[in-house]
Amino acid sequence: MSAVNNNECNRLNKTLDIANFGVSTIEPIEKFTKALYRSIDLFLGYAGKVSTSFSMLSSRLKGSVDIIEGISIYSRVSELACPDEKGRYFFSKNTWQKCTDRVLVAVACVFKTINAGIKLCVLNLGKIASSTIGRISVFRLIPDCCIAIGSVFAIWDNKNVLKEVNADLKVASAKVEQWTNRSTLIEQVRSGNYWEIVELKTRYEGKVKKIQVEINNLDPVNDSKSIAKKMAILKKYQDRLDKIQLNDNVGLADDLAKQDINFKLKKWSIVQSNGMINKNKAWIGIANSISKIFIITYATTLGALGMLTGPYWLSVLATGIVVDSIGLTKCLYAYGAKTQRPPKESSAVV
Amino acid sequence: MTSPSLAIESVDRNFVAVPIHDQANKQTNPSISTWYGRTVNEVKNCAHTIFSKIVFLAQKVIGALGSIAVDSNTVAGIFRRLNGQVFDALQHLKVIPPNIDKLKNAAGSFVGCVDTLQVVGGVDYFCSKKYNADSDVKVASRISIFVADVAGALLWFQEMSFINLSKAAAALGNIRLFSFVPKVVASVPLVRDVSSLQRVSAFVGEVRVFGAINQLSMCVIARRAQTLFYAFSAVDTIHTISKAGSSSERKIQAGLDLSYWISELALDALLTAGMTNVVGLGVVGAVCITTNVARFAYKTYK
Repeated sequence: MSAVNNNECNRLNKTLDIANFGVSTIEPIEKFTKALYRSIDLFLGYAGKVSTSFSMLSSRLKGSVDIIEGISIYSRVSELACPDEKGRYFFSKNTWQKCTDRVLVAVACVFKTINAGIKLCVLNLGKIASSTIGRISVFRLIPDCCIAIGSVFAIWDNKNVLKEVNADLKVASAKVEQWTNRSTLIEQVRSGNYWEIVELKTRYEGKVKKIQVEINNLDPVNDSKSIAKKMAILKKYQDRLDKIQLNDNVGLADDLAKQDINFKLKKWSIVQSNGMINKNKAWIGIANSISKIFIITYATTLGALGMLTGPYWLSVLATGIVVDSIGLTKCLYAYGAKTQRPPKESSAVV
Repeated sequence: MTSPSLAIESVDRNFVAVPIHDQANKQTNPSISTWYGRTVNEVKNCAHTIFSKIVFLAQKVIGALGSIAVDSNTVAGIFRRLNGQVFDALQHLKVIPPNIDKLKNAAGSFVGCVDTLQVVGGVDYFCSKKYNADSDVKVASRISIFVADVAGALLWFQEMSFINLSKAAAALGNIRLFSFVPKVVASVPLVRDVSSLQRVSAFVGEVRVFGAINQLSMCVIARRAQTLFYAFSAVDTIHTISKAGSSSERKIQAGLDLSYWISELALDALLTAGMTNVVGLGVVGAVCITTNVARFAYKTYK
C-alpha cells in the first residue's frame, strides 16, 4: 500500500515538475498559448457568438505569441553560433540533415521576428510589409516554406536515428533476455542439460570465429589495446569451449556464474530504456514534422485560393491546435523522459 | 713602399668590386628580412588574437541573449520594467516614437500570461516539498511570490471580465458562518427561554466572519506580496554572502541577486511614495533590467 502511494506521489511530483518546466520555458508557453487561442477562436467561430472575455483572452494570447516570436531569434542564433559546454559547435555534432533543418528554422525565425516587429509597429518597412505572393503576405509565406522544407529534412534525420536506435534496441532486448535467463541457464548447464550445452557450444564457436576475424582486421601497431581486449574475450570463449569438450559442466557453470548478473541486467535494462526513449522522441519528431508540413501546405493552398473563411478556416484552426499539441508534447517529452547513463563496466574481462 | 698603382695591381683579380652601400646591405640584409618576417608574423598573430577575442565575446553575448530568450521568468521581468517604466521614459525623451501602444499592450499581455502560469511553479514547489531543501527565509519568499502570482492571476482574469472580484468579495463578506446558532438555541426547550442567551445567540448569528475581505484590494495584495518577495529574497542573499562556508561563486551570484532585489525594492519604494518623475523611474527600471540580466547571465555562464 505504501509502495503504491509512493509511486503515485512520484508520478504526481514528476507531472508537476514537467508542468513547472513547461511554464518556465518560452517554447512550451508559445505552443500552449497558440493552442489555447486557436481553441478559443475555433469555439467562437463554431458557436458564432462573441464572448467579450474569451475574445479579450484570445487577443492577449496573440499579443504574447507576437512577443515570443519576436525574441525567439536569439535562441535560434545562439543554438547555431555558440559552442556547447564541451566546446562543440552545432554543425560538428549533428547530421547535415538536422543542420539544414535548424538553419531553415533560423531563417524562418528571422522573418517571424520582422513580421512581429511590423505587427507591433516597431518596424516600418513601407510597401514591403504589405507585399504578397498569391494573396499571402511574404513575411508569412517565406517562413512557412522554410519550416516546411526544414521539416522534410527533420523527418529524414529522425528516420536515420530510428534505424540506428532500432538496431541498438534489438541488441539491448536480446541482452536483457539473455541476462534475465542467465540463472536458469547456469543451473541447466550445471545439471548437464545436453541441448543447452550444445547451443552454448555453437554460440561460442560463432563468437570465436567473429572475434578472430575482427582481430585480423585490426592494425597491430595502432589498435594494440583493442586487440588485447579482444584476445582476452577470445581466450574466455576458448576456455569455455575447452570445458565443454572435457564435459566439465560444473566448471563451465562456475565460469558462467562469475559475471555479475544483476549488474549486467541493470546495464542492459538502462540501455534498452534509453533506446525506447530515443525511439519515442524520434517518432514524436516525425509526427511533429509531418503535421507541420500538412498544416502549412493546407493553409497556404487555401490562402492562395482565397478560401480561408468559414468551415475551411475552422478546419485550419483545428489542425493548428493538433500541430501545436504535438509540438508541446515533443517539448515536454524531451524534458520529462531523460536517458540515464548506463553503469560503467570494469575493464577486466570476466 | 709600393705605389698606389702597384697596390691596386696586387689586388685579387677575382675580387668583384662592390659599392660600399651594397656591401653594408649585404651584411645587414639577413637581419632586415628577419625583422620584416617577424613583424609581419606578429601583426598577423595580433590581428588573429583580436579577431578571436571579438568572436569569443560575440559568442558569449549571443549565448547569453539566447539563454535569456528561453527563460520565461527573466524575459517577463525585462518586459515588466520595459512596459512599466523604460518605454515611458524613452517616449518622454522622444527617443522612441509615441505610437508603440501595440508593443506595450502585447508586452503587458505576455507578462500577465507568464505571471499567471507561474502559479503552477508555486504549486509544484509546495506539492513536491521542494521547500525542505530551502531556508525559512527562502520559503517565506516563495510563499510571498505565490500569493502575488495568485493575486496577479485573479486580477488578470478580472481585467478580461471573467470574474468580478468585488462581487466575490461582497458575497464572501456577507457570509454569516454561525447563522445556525440562533436556530439551535430556539429549538432547545429550556435554553430558548433564557433571554440573555437569546441575545448572545442572535449576535453570534449575525457575525460576518469574512467581512474584512470586502475592505481588501487584490491589487494591493499583489503589490505588497511582491514587495515581501523582494525583501525576503534580499535577506536570503545577505545570509548567503555572510555565510562562512559559501564558495566565492555562490557569493558573487548572491551579490548579483542582491543588487537586483535592491533595485526592485527601490523602484517599489519610489512608486509607493508617488514619484512621478518619468525619466527617474525609467532609469531605475533600466537598472532593474540590467541587474536581472547580469544575475541570469552569471548563473548560466559561471
